[in-house]
Amino acid sequence: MDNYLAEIIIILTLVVLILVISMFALARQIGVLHTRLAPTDALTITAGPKVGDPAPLLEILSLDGRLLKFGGPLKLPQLLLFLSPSCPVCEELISTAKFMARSEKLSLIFGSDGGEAQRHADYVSKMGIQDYPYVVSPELGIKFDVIRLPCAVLIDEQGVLRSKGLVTNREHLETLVESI
Amino acid sequence: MIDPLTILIISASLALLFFTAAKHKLRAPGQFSAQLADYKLIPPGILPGVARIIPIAEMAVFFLILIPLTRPWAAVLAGGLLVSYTIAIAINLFRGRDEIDCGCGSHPQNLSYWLLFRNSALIISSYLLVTPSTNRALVWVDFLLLSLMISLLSCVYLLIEQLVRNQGFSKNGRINDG
Repeated sequence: MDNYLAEIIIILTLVVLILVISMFALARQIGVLHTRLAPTDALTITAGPKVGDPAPLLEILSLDGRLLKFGGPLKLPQLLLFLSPSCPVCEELISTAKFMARSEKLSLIFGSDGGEAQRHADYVSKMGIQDYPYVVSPELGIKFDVIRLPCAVLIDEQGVLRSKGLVTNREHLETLVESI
Repeated sequence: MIDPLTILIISASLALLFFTAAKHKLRAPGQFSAQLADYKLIPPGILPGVARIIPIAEMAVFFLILIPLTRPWAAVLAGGLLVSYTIAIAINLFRGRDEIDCGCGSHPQNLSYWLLFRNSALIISSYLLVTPSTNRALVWVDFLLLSLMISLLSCVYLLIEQLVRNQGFSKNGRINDG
């Protein structure tokens, strides 16, 4: 091989090598960005009724005195959002839940376990959720095995539990509702 | 007739590839047999045997392809292994089961058509080793080029792997691995 050709080829190979390495670095950075930005699924809770099983049948009075039916055949899919006045993360989710209930045509129900009725009533007016049923019942939480808040449960029109999970942000709630 | 330098570049790169492939499979044999079972092609009776033989065959390719005397045999073995992987991937793509892990390396990777292209390129290069080469004495410049080319090819391989993984991210919108 001619000497000058060999020199040029070596230099060019080095240049291509540097280019490929920098492209690899760029591709890796894109991969890292993807992992940072990817929405995570609603954290699954394994205890309690399983997804795909019929949801427990319940009839509970809401805070404003309406009789609510859970499970069994329903007119609209039900989205149950378990929250508590003492849970700051829950407040952020209420507007998302309201928006999703409207856009996905779900009947949205807020659930909370015991405590003073007045405290819950104050909370309902503070959050502006008077239009939605609000249930104060430890039984509801126990039936769905809610151990941590905020937790969302989705029941379809046939009364089948479609998804359930701990929802700490908007993406969690969206992926949970999308599973219907 | 191809240049002996080309033969050296191809065989050294294939040796590196098969060494890493075999290393992953030998390090996590349980994982590999699970991946192999997921292809749903091998009867369960002979699955453990096949899962044991494949990494050994890959290791054999690594050693034999570096020795000039055994190089053509190793090339045929390498090509045969790659052909069978490609057929297995193609069958599962055809079945629509592209969500299974290909078992290609340390990172989980779904099956895709790009794997068929990659494997075809590898198959062609391994069968190039069987063709006769010219008899040229190698000088020091050749060895410099050899090392540069091997690093270049490995970097290109890593780059394409990364790009394919990125494509998987944008397709699924969620993470398979970290």
